[in-house]
Amino acid sequence: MSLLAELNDLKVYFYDQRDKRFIRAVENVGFSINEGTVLGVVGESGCGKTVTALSMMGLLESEPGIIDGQFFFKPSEEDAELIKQSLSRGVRKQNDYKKDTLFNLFFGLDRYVSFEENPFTIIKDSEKWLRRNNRIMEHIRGKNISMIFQNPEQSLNPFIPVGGQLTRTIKRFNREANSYEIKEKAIKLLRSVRLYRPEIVMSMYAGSLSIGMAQRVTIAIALCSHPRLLIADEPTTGLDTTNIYKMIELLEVLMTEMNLTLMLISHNIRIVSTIASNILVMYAGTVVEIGSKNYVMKTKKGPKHPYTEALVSSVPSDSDIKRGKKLRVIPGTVPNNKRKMDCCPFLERCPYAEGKIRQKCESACPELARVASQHYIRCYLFYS
Amino acid sequence: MTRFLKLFIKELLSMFLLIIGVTALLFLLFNLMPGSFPGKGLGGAEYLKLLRRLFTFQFGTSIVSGRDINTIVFPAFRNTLILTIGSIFLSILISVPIGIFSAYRGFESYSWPFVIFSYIMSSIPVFYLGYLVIYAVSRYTGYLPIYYPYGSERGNPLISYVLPVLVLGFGNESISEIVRLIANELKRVMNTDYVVASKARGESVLRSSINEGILIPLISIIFSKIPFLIGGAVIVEHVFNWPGMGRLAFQSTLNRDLPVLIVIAFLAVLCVRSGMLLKELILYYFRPGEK
Ligand SMILES: Nc1ncnc2c1ncn2[C@@H]1O[C@H](COP(=O)(O)OP(=O)(O)OP(=O)(O)O)[C@@H](O)[C@H]1O
Ligand code: SF4
Ligand SMILES: [Mg+2]
Repeated sequence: MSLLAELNDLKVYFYDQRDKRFIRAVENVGFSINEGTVLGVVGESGCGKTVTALSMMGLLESEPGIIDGQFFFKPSEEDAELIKQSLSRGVRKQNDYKKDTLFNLFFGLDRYVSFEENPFTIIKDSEKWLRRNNRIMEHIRGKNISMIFQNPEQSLNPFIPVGGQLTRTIKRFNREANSYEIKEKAIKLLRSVRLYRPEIVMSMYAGSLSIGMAQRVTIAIALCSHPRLLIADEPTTGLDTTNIYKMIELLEVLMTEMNLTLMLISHNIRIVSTIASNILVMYAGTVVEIGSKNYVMKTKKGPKHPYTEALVSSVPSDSDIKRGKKLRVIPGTVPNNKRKMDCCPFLERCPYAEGKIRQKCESACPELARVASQHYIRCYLFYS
Repeated sequence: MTRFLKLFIKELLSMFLLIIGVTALLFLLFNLMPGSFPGKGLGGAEYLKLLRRLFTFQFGTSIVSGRDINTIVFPAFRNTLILTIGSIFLSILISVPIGIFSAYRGFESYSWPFVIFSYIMSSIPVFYLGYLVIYAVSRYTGYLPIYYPYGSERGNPLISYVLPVLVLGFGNESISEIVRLIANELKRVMNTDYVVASKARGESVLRSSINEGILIPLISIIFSKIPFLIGGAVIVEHVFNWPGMGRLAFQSTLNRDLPVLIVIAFLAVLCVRSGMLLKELILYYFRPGEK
């Protein structure tokens, strides 16, 4: 299993025009994905999951946006040369954009960003950065990384029927194919996402699809280009329980059929854990726990971040339901991310922050600490 | 489809009523004019005859010149049509790229000179621009004919279209409006979810936002500008002595030639309303949700 993508220290900020201050959306998020595996990303609403995904796609247009980080990605061989060219444009020192066969797609970011302490300001030439980033991402979007968005209905073009959008995308990635082949392929794709009577679906407009259908169509469109990495942002929102598991099953099948690697974003840690091999738990814009599924999901023994523990027990497992166990609700809400990180972000809701440890929790934000091989937790409880 | 039929019938009905109203008003005003001249003092029966002539497109003869109105009006109509359609195309050609450019770049970067240019162009009165152009062209160059060479065999009438079309194309107020509308709409559409989603699979942003961001606003503004364009055409025709409907209307008013005037009003209403109908038709084609 070789490394496909690695994100290090991603920092994303926005600027609040009304309050005249910076909002911390994502801070020090990092992970790595191996080819053919599933990375699950979980966390409550507003903890920065979508922002992380959009940053990876270079689609974050709000200012200042990404201000720090590295995103290593291994593109397909035919694109590698093009990416290398666009990365090294206007750069003299030419070796640190690469790590083995992985390219740092955020390479050169530091030339556009500078900080000023006191008062805390970020100066970023977003326009120039976006132009550079777009040139690089041109070779990445679609062919290498595809994304399906949180709201499937709105992410379909309402002016073009489903078939038109599919064939348009297929055509762009298969220039030689004739219109008959393209249509065949579109139908095949719609079949592969388990849409019945694809000929009829092809002639439908986004407005007349149900959520489940729209979600399947967006998946089909995202797969037209045979991406290496598929980012699925909450593909199960708006679906009912049986359909949620059908959707997850579908994703699993597609992974083997199409040789995909999946980054699966969801609120629900149990849904994610059914197919994910690694799980990343985010809270208030940071990673609080990351590790292989077995470590993260283990409820009884072993180290575990208090937030993950709460997440797991807030969603019932099948056996819990059978035993009639009561659900635990996580008290409180996600802190607003305008606050500076001078204590543990989970402090207000943490049941373990008592006594001696509480002083520590209040003094500074804990670092992500290694508790086992490939298992990291951001909590003072597990500092050794 | 039923919705479409309903719309069609509604438009036809309103067109019919408007024609009745406009011609009746003209007829009445004409009869109220002081002085006595041929054609004054006709009764309701004459009006009905007039209507019949209008709706059969056999317009009868002019009171003043005695010529068949069809042979006077249709060439003039053609000339005005050339002038307005040519100038619409010119306006679109100028304003759409500026709109797209400023949607992409925002006013702060290099697009502001173009935007300001479009505002200046729209705020110059069209007759003033016309005289300015005539002055500049006749003084500094000798290439372009200033006036339409009718009657004489000299000169190519096609070349004489150039100046009036240019002046009306630049000088009608729609340029800045189109720029502003497209810049705003395109900017909004470029950030909608479906455009971002298509960008995520490598599609061009312009291509996926062209329907909602450019075509629909452009069509709705162009067709609603037709009345103003016809108004502008009257002035431009006067300035350039262009043998179109505007000049014809002006002359017929001076001559108190009621039959010709009414035909002109009839054709103007027909144009404006069919423009509206066409707009609805095209928008209907573009908006899939309402099919
Ligand atoms: N364009 C933006 N401008 C300002 N703030 C933003 C912007 N986009 C996101 N944010 C903020 O960044 C934070 C993270 O948002 P994000 O959309 O990533 O959350 P999420 O984890 O995807 O939540 P959900 O589960 O609801 O989708 C939120 O607090 C949000 O308010
Ligand atoms: S660091 Fe303290 S407050 Fe934060 S999760 Fe651990 S125990 Fe709770
Ligand atoms: Mg989200």
